Amino acid sequence: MSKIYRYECRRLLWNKFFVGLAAVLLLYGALVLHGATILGVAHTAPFSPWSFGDYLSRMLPLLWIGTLFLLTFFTSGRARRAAVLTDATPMPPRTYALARCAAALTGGLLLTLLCTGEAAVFYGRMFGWYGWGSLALPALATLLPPLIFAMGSGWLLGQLRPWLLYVWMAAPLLLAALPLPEALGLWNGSFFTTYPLSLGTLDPGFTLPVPVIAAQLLLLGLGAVLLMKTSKPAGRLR
Amino acid sequence: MELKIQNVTMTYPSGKQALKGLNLELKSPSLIGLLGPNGAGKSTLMKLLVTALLPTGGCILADGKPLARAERTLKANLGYLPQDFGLFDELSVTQFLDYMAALKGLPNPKAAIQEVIAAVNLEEKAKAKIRTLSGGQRQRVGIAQALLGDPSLLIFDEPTVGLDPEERIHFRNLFSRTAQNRLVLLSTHIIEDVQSVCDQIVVIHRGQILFTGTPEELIQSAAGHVGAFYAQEAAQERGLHITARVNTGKGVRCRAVADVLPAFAQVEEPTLEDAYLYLISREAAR
Amino acid sequence: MKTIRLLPLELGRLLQSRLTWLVMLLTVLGPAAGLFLYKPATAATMNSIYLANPAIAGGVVGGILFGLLAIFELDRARRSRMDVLTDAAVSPLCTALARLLALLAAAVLTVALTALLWLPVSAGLTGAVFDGTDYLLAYLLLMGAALPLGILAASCAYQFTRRADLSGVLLAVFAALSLTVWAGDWQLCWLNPCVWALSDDFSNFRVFCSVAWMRLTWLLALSGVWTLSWLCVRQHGKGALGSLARSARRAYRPAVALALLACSCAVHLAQPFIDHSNPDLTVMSFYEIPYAQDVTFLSRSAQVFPDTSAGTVTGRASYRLRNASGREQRISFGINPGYAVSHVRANGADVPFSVSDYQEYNEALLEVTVPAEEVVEVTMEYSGLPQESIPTMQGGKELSSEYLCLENAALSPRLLNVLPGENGYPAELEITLPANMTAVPFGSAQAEVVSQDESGARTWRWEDNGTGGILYAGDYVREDIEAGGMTIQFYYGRKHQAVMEEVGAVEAVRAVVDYCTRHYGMLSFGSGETLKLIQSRVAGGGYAADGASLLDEADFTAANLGDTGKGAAPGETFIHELVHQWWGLGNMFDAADPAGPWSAEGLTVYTTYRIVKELYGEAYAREHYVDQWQRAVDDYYLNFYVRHPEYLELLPESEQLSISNSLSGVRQYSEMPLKILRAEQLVGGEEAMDKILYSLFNRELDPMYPYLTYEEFLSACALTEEELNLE
Repeated sequence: MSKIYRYECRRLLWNKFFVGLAAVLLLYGALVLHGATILGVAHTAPFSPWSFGDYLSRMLPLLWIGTLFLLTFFTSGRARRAAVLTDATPMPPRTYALARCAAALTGGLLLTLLCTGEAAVFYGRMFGWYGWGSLALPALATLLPPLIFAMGSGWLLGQLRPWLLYVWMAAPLLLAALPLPEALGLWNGSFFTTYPLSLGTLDPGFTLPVPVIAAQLLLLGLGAVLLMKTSKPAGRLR
Repeated sequence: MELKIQNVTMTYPSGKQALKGLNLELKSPSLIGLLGPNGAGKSTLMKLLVTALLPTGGCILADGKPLARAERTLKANLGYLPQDFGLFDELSVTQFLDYMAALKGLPNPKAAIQEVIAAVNLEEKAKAKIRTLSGGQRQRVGIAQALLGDPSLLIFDEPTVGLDPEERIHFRNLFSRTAQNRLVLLSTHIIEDVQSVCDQIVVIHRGQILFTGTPEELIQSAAGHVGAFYAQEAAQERGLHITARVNTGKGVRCRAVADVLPAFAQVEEPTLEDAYLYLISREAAR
Repeated sequence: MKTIRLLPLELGRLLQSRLTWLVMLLTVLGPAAGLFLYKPATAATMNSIYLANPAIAGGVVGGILFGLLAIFELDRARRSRMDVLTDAAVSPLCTALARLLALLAAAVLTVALTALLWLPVSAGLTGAVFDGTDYLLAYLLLMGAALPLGILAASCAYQFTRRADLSGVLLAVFAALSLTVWAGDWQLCWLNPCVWALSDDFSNFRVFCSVAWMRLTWLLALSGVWTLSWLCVRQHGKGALGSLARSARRAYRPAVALALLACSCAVHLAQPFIDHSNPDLTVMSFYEIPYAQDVTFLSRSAQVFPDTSAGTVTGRASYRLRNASGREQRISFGINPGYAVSHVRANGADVPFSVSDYQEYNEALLEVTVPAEEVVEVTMEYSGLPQESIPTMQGGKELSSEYLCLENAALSPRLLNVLPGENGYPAELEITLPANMTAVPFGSAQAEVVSQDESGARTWRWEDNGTGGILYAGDYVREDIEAGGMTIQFYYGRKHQAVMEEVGAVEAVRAVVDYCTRHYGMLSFGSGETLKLIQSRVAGGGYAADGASLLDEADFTAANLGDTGKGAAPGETFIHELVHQWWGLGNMFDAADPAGPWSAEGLTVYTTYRIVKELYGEAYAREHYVDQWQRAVDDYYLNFYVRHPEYLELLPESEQLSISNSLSGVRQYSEMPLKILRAEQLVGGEEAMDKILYSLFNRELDPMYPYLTYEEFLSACALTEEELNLE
């Protein structure tokens, strides 16, 4: 299992595509940090949990797309042809799928780390600010549920029809265009710009209202369930 | 290892019936050649045997247990080379085999990998990335992964495609050696391969078994139905199935199979190819 | 012939691929990026926002996508190992050509579809100023031409390297160069033409011509490179060079490639639009030419014949000079670098002359040697396409049957080194224009029609005094408005009539002029009785001179008139822009300090509020002005950097500047008007403030620094900066 995981990581992360993806992510991150985050949101500092959350929300569509792209490594035509061999091995499909998901998740987490690391460098270089501990909670709340959900839902869709993964990549863009209720504000980033203003104090500490917590937990739970629900080997008919 | 195929039917969602009430028993040690024209159902049968497909009717028993329930046990003892397969191009040959060894759960992968790499003559390319290999070399990697872990059931679908004659002989002998204590199922179009190594032959046509038995039995079945004649002697060739034409000093000498040979044809000793063609042509005429 | 036969096959195969349709679909949707994401045209005209930007963005998206599609399609045969079969049947060169043509055909189809689908959107968004010709040219040149260039570039990369990944990287680099490093170089930015503005109310002939020139240059260059790469298409198992050597055996093939490349270089070098003016704007050597000794000016005349269909000018100019020196003199003229001069005569005899290669401030130096005669009449003929200096802001020398602007040396050669005579520099100028055009000299002079030919073309004559002169002409509507004790001659483009009527422009002009004249005094550049307000083609700002003031069309677009920061209703934005005639042009302001609130906007917004209050009542003005300012200012004071300036200081200078700039809008448009309102309360009310502003408006100007400063305002109010603190 660990060997499969290591090999899948190698396949997913040690190639030109991943390097390109990381470069695009870093470039976009720099644009967001220098163009938007630097101004701060809701009258707070650029390094406040709110502004950092806003930065992550802006990065989220790219992270989502990147994570789903990693999944396409398992659903491409080439991968499906190789699956003829791997399906004939005694490795239980659930274990095999988990090892592969773990590798894709590692890729997603690595991209996330790049994003957050870039922000940390930005904060240090621009403001000499290093209080990263306060940013952990917004990072977890913003990124973890959608990434786990991306993985779970992406895996399922990729097994159904590989092209559905590409359609699914557009989901965050669609969410950004839709007027979402307040509880789903983390899904399009509006939460970070509006909620602190409603707290009535200047530079409020980071808190999450119950409906938002519930929505994120739901997303996380759903993602985890989908992730656990491994599918039948591709192409097997009855 | 013993495989029993009982009244197996396979109909694809498109409605195409690939296998019709197939019955067959395969026992180790044996090297079985699976013959049949394109679209006869050979690959479907192989996919059913490796549980890549599930039959729409009938059942397959592996050592007495239904395959659906004994899937893990079967796969733990299975080496499979499909006709059309992909490899992870970004890995080296050794890495790919290591990956497959991990999937097969081999306890000592290193030795097993070295062994199969040597068996398929790929030592020089062991560290090369798969994307740099030629078509024949890729085919050999496919064979190597099937041999990994010394499985007791080996299923090869067209394994010698893309190999040069020397390699083909090498693999023919390898399969023959391997089959001494295992069950090896070999599907191929190359009758020569079957003739030299297989101890049993199964001929499938249009989803049904036309023949099971030894190569000698198949050859015997065509005795008296193979004839030779010069092209100019033949008043008409109707009812004849020409299997070869050879230019000789006296003209074009034809070899043909038929239920009833014409008078101008001189009866000849059948080969396995003649017998196979006779079997298929007779079935086609029906 | 084989290629022609293969083309429908290739095109059919291309159109059967789902990827092709995806690329086509994304390209068709590409213009949407220009509405939201990528806005290279910065001007505020409707055509810039809703036509130029979508078309350019569509070109960028389509160029890149079709480039990628080309790589994918060229690589497809190799990937699927089909090339082994096709190469056995048809020459690979033939296939490559057929594939290129098929891709180009798909691109043409896509552009046609895009233009068709976006037509109702553009027409709806631009409204009354929509123009079918502009629309077609925009989608043809700004968007359409990018697609073949993308295909050619990508095909070149693939045919040279025969590697899809490497070709993708090369295409990306080539596109990135155009989008970044070359973005400011109008001849190099192959993907995203350097268009900063498209006019709504007047034509865009020059802009489209310049883009067409750029596209032609690149089309020739890439066709040449493509032909070379085509010769490298691998055949007979040879590498790139081996294949090239074999394919080049037919000499006409490399000859065509080289001819195309040579044509491209020639077209690049021979561009007729931009001059070679010295980029160092501190150098003004033409003004340092010593005056010709004992030569004085008597009079001059010029007859100018613009060719509105070709965008060129032909003219005859005549200068009468008194040469009291008794010897030959060298007289210098500034002339537009695009003009060629012929037949320079002095008193009827040909005299030697030369035109310098050196150019500055959009002028080349024409030097004429005049004979040692007492009175010399120098006549000359000139013609050509007037050139402009700033490649990133082209369109200033627009010349069409809808609009023209001929400034100084572009109107007729400008005398540089002759002292004025007793009457200064008297001039009589004539211009012949199509029937629909009205000539409007910029200044107090009035042009009159002196003759009309059978075609309806009219010759306008006006008198001036000076060595240069500016003439605007266009399809103008003129409204005469009596206000503030003078006649305002308001010229605006006929296409803009609907918008102007909708916002009640005439009433707004009257209200503003009446109010401002009553409260602050007459405009110093009004000639006493009349003031020409001329709407110009989008130029990046307005300016004023004696008797005339220019209004940039970008200030009066429907979009700008809807900007609530400048006024609550479209008509109020119009008022705002007109108030700038007093605060901004009548009284000038130094370039605004991004760290401070003081600029022309403060007094302009405050005056707009006062006029609106007079027109619509106090409650309306409070709700739409004072309350809005207050909200914006409250927000501003809560801003993190305003509360913690120490963090702003930590940032690099460029970041500091961009943040200050983003905050300065609030300071100038909201904080300053609020401060002026507070000052109004502190000085004793509106009447007292009006008196102060009157005194400031009519103060004695320091010619060295004529700008109205915050300190002057504070001292006129007898207030300190702290007293106006809003926190």
